[in-house]
Amino acid sequence: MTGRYLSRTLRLLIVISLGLMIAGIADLVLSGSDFLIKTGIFLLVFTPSAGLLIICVFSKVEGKKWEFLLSLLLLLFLIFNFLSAYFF
Amino acid sequence: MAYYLCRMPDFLLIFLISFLAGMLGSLLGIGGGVLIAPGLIIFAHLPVRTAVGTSLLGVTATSVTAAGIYIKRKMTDLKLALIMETTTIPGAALSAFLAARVPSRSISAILGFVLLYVAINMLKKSPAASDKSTPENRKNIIPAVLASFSAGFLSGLVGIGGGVLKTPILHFIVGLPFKEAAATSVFMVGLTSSTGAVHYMARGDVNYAVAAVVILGVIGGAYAGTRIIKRAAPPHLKKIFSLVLALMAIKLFLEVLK
Repeated sequence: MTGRYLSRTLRLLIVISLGLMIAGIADLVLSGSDFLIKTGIFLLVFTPSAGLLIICVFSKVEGKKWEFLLSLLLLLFLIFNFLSAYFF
Repeated sequence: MAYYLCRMPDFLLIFLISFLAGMLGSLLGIGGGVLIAPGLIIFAHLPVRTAVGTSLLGVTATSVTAAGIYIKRKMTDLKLALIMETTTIPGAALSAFLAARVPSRSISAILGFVLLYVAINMLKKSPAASDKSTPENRKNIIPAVLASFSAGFLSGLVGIGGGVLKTPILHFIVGLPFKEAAATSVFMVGLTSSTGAVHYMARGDVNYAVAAVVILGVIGGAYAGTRIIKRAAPPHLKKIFSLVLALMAIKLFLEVLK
């Protein structure tokens, strides 16, 4: 179940990100605005974290203790990494 | 915000290089940054730091695209990826801390020899690595975890992506078939590259217009790679991987001689 939902989430987010990127290039050429490209790139960069969140939630539901602990540890690291990059 | 937009032929070249990098990245379980970063420096005329930041976004896109498909095909060992990634990250963090105190030229030379050794071994038929996937052929997890820590440490010191070391560790030490090793490695690479990409974005060391072209290219290439891997024979993939490792070893040796 974890793999199925993880795969669906990753593919959905990459398709949305791809759409934003294509629209963003058109927007940049036509109006000079990079808002859509930036939104697409932010979505892309946080997709691995979203994947970890999916693993964390579904491994808890399925009672897979080790997967849950490891994914939680990595997720906490990624959150700390984001905070340290932008705020510290 | 005004961007430096390079000429159309250069954008097409960047797209083609990114497509190739995405394809190799998803086929071999490496990020593809080894191709993207030099391509951006030469053709988009980006400063080194901006090229690296932009290429990390491309590596993340390669990983996410390929991982989504490989997980669906049940080629990725998620538990193993999580275990190994938990030790790679402290290795990379330690290398960032020690980078100024360790002689990076000698580390580059050592890593160059390691990559050459792995490249030669990849061409031989390894008794440890079967091409059939069974839970029984997953072994040597503790040595693999230690090797993964060293991979994070060395790659952080020398500034190469971890994928070139992760795929051989998963194939030779753990005993995963080559395709599963590449699929598991590409999932891990995404976690590592997104960690670095956030720092480059926060510092403003990313050219978003060029990044959009790179991402479009690598997504196309990564998707093509996931189609090719279904039909490709593992010995052919190993030969391509050996070639990439040998080229990286030569690059490291040249840096030592500079």
